Amino acid sequence: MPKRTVLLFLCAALAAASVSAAPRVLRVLTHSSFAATPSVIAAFEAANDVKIQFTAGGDAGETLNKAILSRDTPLADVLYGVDNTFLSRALKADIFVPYDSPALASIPKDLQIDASHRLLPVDFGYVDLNYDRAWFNKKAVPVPQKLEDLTKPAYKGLLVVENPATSSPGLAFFLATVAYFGEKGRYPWQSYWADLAKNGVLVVNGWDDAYTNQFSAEGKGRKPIVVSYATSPAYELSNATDPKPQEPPTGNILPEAGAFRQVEFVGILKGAKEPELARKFVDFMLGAAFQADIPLQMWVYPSNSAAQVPDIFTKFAPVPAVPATVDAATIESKRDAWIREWTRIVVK
Amino acid sequence: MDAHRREIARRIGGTGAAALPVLFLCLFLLYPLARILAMGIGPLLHGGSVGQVVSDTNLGRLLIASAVQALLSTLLTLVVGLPAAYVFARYDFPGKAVLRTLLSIPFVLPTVVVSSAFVGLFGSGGALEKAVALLTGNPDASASLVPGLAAVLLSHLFYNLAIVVRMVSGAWSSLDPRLGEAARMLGANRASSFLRVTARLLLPSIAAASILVFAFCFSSFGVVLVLGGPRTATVETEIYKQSVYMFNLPAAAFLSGIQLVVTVLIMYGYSRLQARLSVVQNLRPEALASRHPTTASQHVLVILCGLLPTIALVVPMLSLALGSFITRNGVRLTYWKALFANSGHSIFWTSPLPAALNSLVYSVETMLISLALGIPAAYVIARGQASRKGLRGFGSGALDLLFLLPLGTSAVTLGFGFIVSFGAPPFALRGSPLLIPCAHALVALPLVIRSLLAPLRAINPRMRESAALLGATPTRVRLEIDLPLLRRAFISAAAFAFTVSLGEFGATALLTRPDMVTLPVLIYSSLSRPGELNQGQAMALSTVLMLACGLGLAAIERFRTRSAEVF
Repeated sequence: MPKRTVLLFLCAALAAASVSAAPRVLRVLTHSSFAATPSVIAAFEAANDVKIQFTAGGDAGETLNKAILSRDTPLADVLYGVDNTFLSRALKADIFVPYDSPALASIPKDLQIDASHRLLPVDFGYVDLNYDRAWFNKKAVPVPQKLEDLTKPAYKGLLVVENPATSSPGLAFFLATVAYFGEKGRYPWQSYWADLAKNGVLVVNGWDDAYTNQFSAEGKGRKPIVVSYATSPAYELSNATDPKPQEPPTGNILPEAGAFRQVEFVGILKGAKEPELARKFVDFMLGAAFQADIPLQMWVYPSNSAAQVPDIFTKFAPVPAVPATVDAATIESKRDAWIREWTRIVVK
Repeated sequence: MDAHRREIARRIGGTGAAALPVLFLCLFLLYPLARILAMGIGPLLHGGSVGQVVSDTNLGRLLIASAVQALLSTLLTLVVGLPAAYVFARYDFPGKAVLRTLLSIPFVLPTVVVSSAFVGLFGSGGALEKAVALLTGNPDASASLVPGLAAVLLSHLFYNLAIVVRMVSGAWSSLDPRLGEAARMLGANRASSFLRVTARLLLPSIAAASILVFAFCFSSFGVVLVLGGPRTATVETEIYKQSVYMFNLPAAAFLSGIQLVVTVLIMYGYSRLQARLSVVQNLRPEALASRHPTTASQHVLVILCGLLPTIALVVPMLSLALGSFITRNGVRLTYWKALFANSGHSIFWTSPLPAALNSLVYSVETMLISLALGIPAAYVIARGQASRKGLRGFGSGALDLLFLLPLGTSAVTLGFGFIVSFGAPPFALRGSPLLIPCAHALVALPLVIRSLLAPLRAINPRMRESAALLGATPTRVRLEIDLPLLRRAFISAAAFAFTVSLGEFGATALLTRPDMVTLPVLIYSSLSRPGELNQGQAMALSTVLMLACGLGLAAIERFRTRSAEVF
């Protein structure tokens, strides 16, 4: 009998201790490319007496899918990583609650694609063509300037792109061509891609394969032009091993309206257990400290125009004057049919 | 009376032994699968767009392409694997244990790493092309392997050779060589004694290995996506496209259902065949069966069939390990240093040591879970099939099929099923660290059961009966008769479970938390960033993974039984 009393007492004490000592937990679901400096996150945790539990759900599409499927028992309080190609789908699924963050005041209006403020823009980047500088220097071939150039004989067999059916930069580049050439008219995107196919474009399923295996600048492949990100050259430079070169081994081709803007959003999930903390975290993600951490962690631009952008970005990752954009609702309604049509033209 | 009671107890015990594995499968496979399929197929039936899905995905062509690819992959694996299995079973040669371990390492390598190694060797500007250029004196010689069917077949061979070699050589080494000798004494020539005795007795193991390889290749995903290029597809890659990129859950669910039905049909045919093929024999403990090669032709055989394929497998692995030391500026430790210096750099970055530790813990847990469930399940299935008739025979046939189901299940779909099913009570397991080894055990179970079934069925019941007559308890019979005869099969089963878990990349199946990062997850996150430093780190991490795998397998191989020498 006394033994049991002691045991009960111990259990009660343990339970009490665990309640008082453990801080609240905020669950944040992200795609697997999410990155942040631990000290920046720790500062938020300390200021709000909260522990953030990050969970990665795979790539952007997979993560959103998991959030939608788990709507009845949400996986997290906050979801980061929906981009503008998936925006309509996410809003249609109705899994987010609106939040008018005060931080939106310092974020350009054109990034605030969701007027209902259920998805708030955190960062943006550009998908464009990268080229291998050494290859073009050696062969004395001029770097292509326009999307149309890529169908010329001089650039036969030089381009590798990702499959828009299986890759998000692949889809982004495809959308850029749709925006630029249009769906109808004398020379629509269908004709352009048919010409690219005739000119020997190589299609692979993923960015990893395109960039690391097929692109010549990485040392393995033979294709000197690849669909990648506008920040890839800057990233190459910052990650080069010693001795560090002065300039990146690769460059951006930023043809007019040939670079697609990807905007990434954060939102508070319906049924969040900690709505108050979730709002604070969204404010934090849009605020100065986190926004300044974005460029060198995730290699995209911060959405907050007050945030400092490092020199390497201004020098080697220019913002295109006229980015290609396709309205999110149009992407949602036409994507599947476009991709099927693209597959018939290019893959067959 | 007493015998009757014992028989009843045995039957109850037999059913009880299968109960836990069946429950496990219901909870972790059937329940989540049913929920996700119901979510997808419901709207499909109401919308009535099945025809649309069939035509949009070109279903007929997709099924044929998947089947042809899987068939070719299986044939290729058999052509290389069977001679190697013979050499491993019948000959002793220096380094045999090391080679056997090396054969299994590809199993743990993430597909992205393998494809990167393959491209480094066979891709444009790869080692093969450089070698051809050097030999022919033509610097523009093209000898590269472009993404497509050939690349897929080659990497399937790389991944699956261990299945054929392990399962068939296990059976081969337990064959009583005197059977063949007896046939020859009775006048059969070498070829016909081989065909009518040895090959016939090996058929069950060959069939078991083939069906596993076929099932893996039929639902192959990562390899096909990366090395197959946009023109090669399987039903599984289409499921991935439909669910992740098109958000077309109904189409994905429909395709998963089709894939499951096709696999079950094939499995059913196989299990009927298997029951007819199995022959009860007097198995021998392997130590008695193998010898050193003596004549010149035997040496050639060992080198040609045993060593060469293994060496061919080792080349891609070696290229990864060497690649982790070769930088732009020559041989350096740059990548390895970066691996450890980078810790604390970002939220999802863990240093390799805790990741390796996580990987090892999950693999050992997976091994224990799948052996604990697989061994009783295999016993119940084997015993039921021995009786063949009546309810028990039918029950064991159904059980056999049930445990093959994970092979036909779409991993992508099941992953989403986990998300839907394990979020709320009664099964609030979503955040539990045990979910990972349980999911891995699901993949490992078919391999574990297949490795045990063929040899279990072959054990002559008279051996057990004699032991029992001489007074041995059932436990003692298991220890003294079954264990020595099945030692190689147990080791294969354990090795399969261990390697399946070690190499499993749970991105599609599960969620990643920073405290649950494993080596494959770390490799993927390195590879998803450009630059030679990240690529180099991925190669260094792959080397760590291969080492962890090799050490783990070596430890498993050391498992010995006391009674092995008694025979």
